[in-house]
Amino acid sequence: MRAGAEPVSGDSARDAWGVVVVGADGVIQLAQGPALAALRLADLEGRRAASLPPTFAALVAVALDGTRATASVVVDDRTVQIAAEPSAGGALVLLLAPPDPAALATRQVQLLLQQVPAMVWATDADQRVTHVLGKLPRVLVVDPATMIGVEADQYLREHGAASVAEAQGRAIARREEQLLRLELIGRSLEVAIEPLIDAGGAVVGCVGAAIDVTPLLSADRARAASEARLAEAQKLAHVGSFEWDVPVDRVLWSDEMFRIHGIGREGFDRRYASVRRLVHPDDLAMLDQRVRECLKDKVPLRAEYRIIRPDGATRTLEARADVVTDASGEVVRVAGTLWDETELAETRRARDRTHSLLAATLEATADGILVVDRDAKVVAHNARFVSIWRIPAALIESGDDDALLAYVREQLVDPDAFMRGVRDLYEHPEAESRDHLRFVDGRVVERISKPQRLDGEIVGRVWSFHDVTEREHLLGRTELLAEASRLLTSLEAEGALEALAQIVVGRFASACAVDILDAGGPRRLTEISDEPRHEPVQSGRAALCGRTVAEAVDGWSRISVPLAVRGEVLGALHLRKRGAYELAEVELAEELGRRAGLAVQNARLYATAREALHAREELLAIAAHEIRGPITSLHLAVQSLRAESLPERVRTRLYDIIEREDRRLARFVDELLDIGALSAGSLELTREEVSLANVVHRVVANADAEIRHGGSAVDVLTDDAAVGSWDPYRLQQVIENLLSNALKFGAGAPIEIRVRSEDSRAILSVSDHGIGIPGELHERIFQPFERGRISSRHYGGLGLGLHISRAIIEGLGGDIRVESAPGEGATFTVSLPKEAP
Amino acid sequence: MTASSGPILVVDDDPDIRELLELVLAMRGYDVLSARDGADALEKLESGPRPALVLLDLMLPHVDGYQVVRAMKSNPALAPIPVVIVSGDQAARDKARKGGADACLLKPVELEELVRVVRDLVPAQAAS
Repeated sequence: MRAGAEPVSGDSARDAWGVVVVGADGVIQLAQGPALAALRLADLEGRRAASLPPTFAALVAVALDGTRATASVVVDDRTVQIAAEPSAGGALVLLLAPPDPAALATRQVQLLLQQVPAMVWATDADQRVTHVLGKLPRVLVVDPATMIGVEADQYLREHGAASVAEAQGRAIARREEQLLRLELIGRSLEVAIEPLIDAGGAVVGCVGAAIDVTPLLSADRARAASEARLAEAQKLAHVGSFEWDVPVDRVLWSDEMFRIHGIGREGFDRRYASVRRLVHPDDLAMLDQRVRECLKDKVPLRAEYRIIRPDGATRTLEARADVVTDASGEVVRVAGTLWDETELAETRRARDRTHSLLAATLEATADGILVVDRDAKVVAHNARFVSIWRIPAALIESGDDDALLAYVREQLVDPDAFMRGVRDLYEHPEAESRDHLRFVDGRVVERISKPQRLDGEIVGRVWSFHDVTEREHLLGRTELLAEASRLLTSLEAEGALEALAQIVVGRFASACAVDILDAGGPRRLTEISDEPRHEPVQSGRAALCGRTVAEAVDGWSRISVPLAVRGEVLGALHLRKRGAYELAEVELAEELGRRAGLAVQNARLYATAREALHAREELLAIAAHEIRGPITSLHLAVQSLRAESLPERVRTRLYDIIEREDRRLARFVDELLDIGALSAGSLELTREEVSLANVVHRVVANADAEIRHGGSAVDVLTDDAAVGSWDPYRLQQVIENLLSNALKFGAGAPIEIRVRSEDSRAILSVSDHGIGIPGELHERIFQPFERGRISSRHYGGLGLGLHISRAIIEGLGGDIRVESAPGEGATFTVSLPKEAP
Repeated sequence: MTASSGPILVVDDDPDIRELLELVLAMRGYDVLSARDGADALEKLESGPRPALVLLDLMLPHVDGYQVVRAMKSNPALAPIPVVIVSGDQAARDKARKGGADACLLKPVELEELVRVVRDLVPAQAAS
């Protein structure tokens, strides 16, 4: 059994106690203690225990019997506890009389109140202090004992607590509680005063309590200052703090949280659902998931999500919170911080985007890029680099830079030069380079490198590779074409074609041949080859017909193109090489063929022009020469005529000579004019109905003098049916020419002229029996003249007569030919169609 | 020493010039022989009477005037016979002169000059 309220100071001296010793004979041997007095028991020693009050006596008897017994007895509102125990030689009785509860209670309360860190006082109706309790008076350097019975109002005012005095007065007067704050000797006191009202309703005094809240206040102030600093820090850092009391679903937010979310305190109902409503719909599922995990697994919460503020702005937030659990492990709170990292997120996004853009740019560039550091270790590269060098994926991933370098080196025509260049550059990190790499497979790659600088310092080197094969090929083709054109401007076509074949071999083909189409057929002009074993270059028949041939057989490719100008084929160009020809190369060959054809034609035209010029010069020389003859004769004849006495016979002969020379000169002039007209293509032929027989007769009549002079007898046989549509004057010219030749070369022998008519044609023949014309000259006599003609002169003519005659006859649609042998004379036969062709 | 009374050999492929020269010279009392080319001329020189003078055109078919001059000058029998070149070509005349011709006449020939040159080299014979 314990006392109801444990006294704070343990003053158990107030407990009454007693001891009674009873012998085995039932006689009280000893009786001591204040409890006996409480039981109104005195002079017990020597009395018999049985004479004690019944309860007491019974207990003793039981104990004497050998059994322990207890009992409680109430005497004067006090409970006494009796415990009787058997002991050696009798019984021992213990008595315990706890102190008066009420007195104890009062005493206990008094002790408590003395310890209260405050001051409690009471006054009566006259405001005299009746009670003063608490520790505070001592702190305030006031002795409580001196206050009892003092007039409170005066006392308070004297000690600087006027406001309390007034409050007391108010409390009593108004019968209501008064609360105030008081500063006293550097301490802050919270004061509460209540009127004491008895059962009858009358005010019998007042009770006051004053608590020193100084430490509380400063703690408060410190806390407030700390909170203010925290709030300020949160505001500056845009960091908010929150607490979510999960079981009751109540959310607490710092000021910054409201600012971050752009809402005011009024609108916030502090439930988690309200917080959720602010989250961006696309991020809601993720956030819910995190929160679920956090609550279920009791793990800290970390989430980045967007909110949409009421003003429509979207912000990105990062939240971190810890979970607080209770004793049973259930989540009671989730508390943490949250900050607005929108700008940061945007910067990150922009940076990521830039990074991706950069990577994409690197991949999108047409160049292969390789970045190495100062130790020549590969730092970065793009897909194009890999494809240019055809590097297997495994090699790139291995990161073995030496193996990579070896693999790359082997693809080049000159790997040593490449390695030298690379070493050179590593010794000069600040140098830039630009060169062309030639690959064994025929590709050409342009390589450019520059040092890579960061903050002004060289940290590595960037290599860029660009496949310029196409460009190099194009350049090569263009250069070849330009050089070919230069060569082909020469008027010495055959030499130029030979030179062309030379530049083609080695650059464009391993063997090249040129054929020229002469009057006698194709002729192989030149064949050049740098092949180890030379096999003849075939001619493409098709090329000589004007078609390009390009074919690939047994690993060889061949191109044959015509040398053609405006559809006229003058020859062919043949190329061949190992491997394949691209379409661009076939086109190049065709262009070469065109230009070569042009060169050949130009050379021919030039030669023709030069010949024509030559011929003209010769004609002039011959004309001048030939004319000198008649003029010499005329001169001598005229001068002779001046002689005074001249025999008539001589005079007549002189006149004949003059007339003859005059005619000769006239004919020379006509022939010159005709040859001019012929070369200009302006020889005009009229057409009218002409009787060939009549023309023949006219000519013979006109040539009477010449005939007599020539000595030949002219026999004419004609057919009047030989009538056609011809040019009478030109026809006359032809007949005059033939007759004149016959007279010249007739050696005096008879001359026969025959005219006959066939169905649609008229035939004229002039035959002489003179010196004749050798077979090899039969065609030449119809040419205007050729070189060295002077050595076979035509006896006093320009030698153009037959040429002009043929032109006239052919212009009329007919033909003229000669039959002759040396010593057997000559027969010229003209065949004319009667109607214009 | 003069070549006595031999004929004048006229060599020209133009028959009209031959005829004229014959006329002109015959009128002045000379005998005239004519040849129509170099071969003909050399033949007549070999076989015919020794001419007192040769009037030679250079431009002749088959055998030209130069060849005639050379042949004559390299033949001791013919060498003394004077040769007068009658030609239209100045350069040719100079060349022939070097070859041994005695005189040159440029075509068209002036009658007076022709007569003078001939008379110098062959004094007139019987006048007609």
